[in-house]
Amino acid sequence: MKRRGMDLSLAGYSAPQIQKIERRLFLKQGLSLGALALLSGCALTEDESVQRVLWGMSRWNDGVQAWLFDPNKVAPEYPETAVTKPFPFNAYYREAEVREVDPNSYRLELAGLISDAKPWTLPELYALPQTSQITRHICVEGWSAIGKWGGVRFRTFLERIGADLGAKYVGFRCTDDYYTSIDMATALHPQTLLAFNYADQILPPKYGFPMKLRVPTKLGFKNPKHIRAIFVTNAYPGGYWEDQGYNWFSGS
Amino acid sequence: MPSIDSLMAARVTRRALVRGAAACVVVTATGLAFGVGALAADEPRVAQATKSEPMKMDEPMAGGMKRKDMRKGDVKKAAEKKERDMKDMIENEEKSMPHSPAKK
Repeated sequence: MKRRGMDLSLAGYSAPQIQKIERRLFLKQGLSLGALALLSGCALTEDESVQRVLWGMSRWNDGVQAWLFDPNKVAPEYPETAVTKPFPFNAYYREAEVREVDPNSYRLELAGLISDAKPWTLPELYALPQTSQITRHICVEGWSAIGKWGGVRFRTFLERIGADLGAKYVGFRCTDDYYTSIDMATALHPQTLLAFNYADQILPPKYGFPMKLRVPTKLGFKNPKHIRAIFVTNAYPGGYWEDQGYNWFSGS
Repeated sequence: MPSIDSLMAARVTRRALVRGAAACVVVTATGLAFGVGALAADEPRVAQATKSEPMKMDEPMAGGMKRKDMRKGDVKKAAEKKERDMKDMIENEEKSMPHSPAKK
């Protein structure tokens, strides 16, 4: 019936005109099929097997980035005049909701492949050899800012606690529930700091009191604030944003 | 025997001393009250300045990394699950470390 109806509707057209109309119909139908394919493509990405492939590709990408990582290549450092004022606050919560940490009762917990896993107090951490750097914090959201951080080289701290420096990962748990991890090569990089200071003052709560990991060779979300525990492991620890699909290595 | 005049003079002096002492007590008490009040008034102001608000876990996340449906409480839930998932592995790794002292 439909075909007959179509034939009837085309009855008044010449042969070349009918060809044109058919071409148009073909193109329209083609576009519709394309749109359907795109829609099914969206649905496909939710499919578990597709997710597995995508995660596999992301992990492969991490491996390539780790292979390309040069442990001796340093991020640019800047003069004091280049420091961004005020340095932006950024977190998954508002600045007014920054968690308070009591410096007197605070203990940094250690776990995993560490031979001396005793908890550390803040005075003990402040007594470690300190250094400072003025580097650029680059956020995955598309902004960047320069700041001055001071603290102990993370390599020095890992050596002091007897961490297995041949392990694959170092993980971080924070008092604001955030968690992330980095590769050991980055942990041992000379510019990776366990930072206790910002602009020569004790790290203010909004920037991560009592300590943050400052990693100028990685994106901002790989710089955890308010660290409460550090662990060394060979089991892939992921991270909050990394587990949502952000690239784990996220560095140069 | 002391004269009436000297007794009267002593009484007047005593009264003056008592009044003076009472005035001192009143002044001191008033000062203390205001002082303590002022201190007490200062304390909450200082405390409020550093006191953070509790995080509202069911509110949408802040920042530009989130998806629209993400809540602040999602991070805590994910962190707890991750810690549970990794607990056994981390403990096994700890046991494999030489000279690992008992934790406090």
